[in-house]
Amino acid sequence: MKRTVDPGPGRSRARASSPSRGVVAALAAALLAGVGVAWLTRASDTALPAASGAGVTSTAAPAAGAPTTPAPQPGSPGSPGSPAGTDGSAGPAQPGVRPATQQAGPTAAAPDRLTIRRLGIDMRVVPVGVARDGEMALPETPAQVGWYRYGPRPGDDAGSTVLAAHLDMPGYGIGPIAAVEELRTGDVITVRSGEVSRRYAVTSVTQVRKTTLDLAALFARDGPALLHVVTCGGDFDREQRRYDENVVVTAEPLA
Amino acid sequence: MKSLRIAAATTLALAPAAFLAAPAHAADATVSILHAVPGATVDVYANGKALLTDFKPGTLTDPLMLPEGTYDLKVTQAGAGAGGAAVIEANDVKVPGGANVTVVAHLSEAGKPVLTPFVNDTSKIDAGKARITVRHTAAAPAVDVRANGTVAFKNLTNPNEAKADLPAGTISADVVLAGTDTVAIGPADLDLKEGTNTIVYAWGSAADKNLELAVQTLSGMHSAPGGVPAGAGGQAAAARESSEVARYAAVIGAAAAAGGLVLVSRRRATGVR
Repeated sequence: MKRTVDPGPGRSRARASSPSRGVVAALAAALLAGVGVAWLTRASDTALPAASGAGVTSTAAPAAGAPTTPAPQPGSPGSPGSPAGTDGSAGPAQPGVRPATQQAGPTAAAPDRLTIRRLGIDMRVVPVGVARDGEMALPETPAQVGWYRYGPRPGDDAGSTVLAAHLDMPGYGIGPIAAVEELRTGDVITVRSGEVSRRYAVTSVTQVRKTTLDLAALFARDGPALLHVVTCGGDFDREQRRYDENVVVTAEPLA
Repeated sequence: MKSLRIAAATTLALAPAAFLAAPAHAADATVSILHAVPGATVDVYANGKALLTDFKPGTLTDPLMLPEGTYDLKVTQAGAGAGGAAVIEANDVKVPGGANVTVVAHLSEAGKPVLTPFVNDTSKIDAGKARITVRHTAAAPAVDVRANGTVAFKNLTNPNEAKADLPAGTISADVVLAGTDTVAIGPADLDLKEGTNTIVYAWGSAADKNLELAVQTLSGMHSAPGGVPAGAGGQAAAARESSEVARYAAVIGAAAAAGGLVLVSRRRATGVR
């Protein structure tokens, strides 16, 4: 490119400053365009669950990294650790007596389908337990969702039903569950258990480091009836083949 | 003399109240009572106060919260009254604060009715596991307890217990005479629910051929799994990284293009002038 003649010392100020003004204008335009593109391509608000989770939740949703991610909603009469033993009777009145045999517990149907219409999620749910390493066992394929079968079932009076699916898997790619990052407060999640479908409304979407995740609260068996949908997020450690964060969606049952 | 009598009467009158009201500093114990003496419907007295009436064999009370301390326990025939003859009597039975105890009225190995307090293990259980406790409270010699046909607990004698944490699930349990395949009780299916302590009592009398199993279940000892490993491919992270790269390229590209445009147009304007 040919450079313009260097203006001599006798030239007018206006003409002398012209090229540098041009550079300033160009820089300004570049900045504007850059910022504009950056803004246009920014991640959607709900894709930043840590920040937005706290903002959109009606109850106090903790920020990412807080150890109490799936904080139980207030207003639960449940007093953890001290279940009412004897029909609420206090003191040593005549206690209830029952045959010393194993009682067949209520057998509500297990969940078998997870649907989130807004995100196009419609996945099969299978019961899962605990892996050999003590972590929750998940279906191998990201196409399916695991239900923690030792915890509460959908429709139970208390505690958290936990559904979790792999975000991705070698040989499969990214699973449908990845989209839950985009959930917003009030979005409807449907869980089917046999003949019965139950609807839940999202109350928070949080992203928490695995090292600070409050597992006892996530898998709570008392307190309010909630649904927790869990997958992974954050950075991927290629050596360990693990993500360093969990994405936790909390939803409460709709009447 | 008279004042002494008044004091004694006052103490007696207050005794039930003292029994009912736990001192503020004392911790309560959780106490269940199992009736495992065949044939007799009974009443149970604690420190002279009726605790249970018309208590039938093979039944179990719901957990009672009792103040810690020592209790004088007496079991009588149903309706015999507080002063009635004791079928079983146990004085100074220690009930430690905070403990979970099952007091079992049962037969000794020789067939004599006795009371045995067992402290139940309510410590945390690993996720996915269940605890089984077996107690020999029958008028019978030493036994082995088998789970799915293999011996799980060996040579258990009255009034002792054995326990283990196993993977949760249903097992088929039976009781054999120790060291033999001679089945004394069972087999019976036991649903060992995750996070619970299923306590199985062998009770009754071998001589009277009424050996049976009684089952008590304590819950709430569950633990959460150690984590939720919900991603192993890394494709989602890679996709996010590459979309980040594309994004930065777009930002830089747009900035360069816009800056270049302005520069060129200004030069053109300058050139015309």
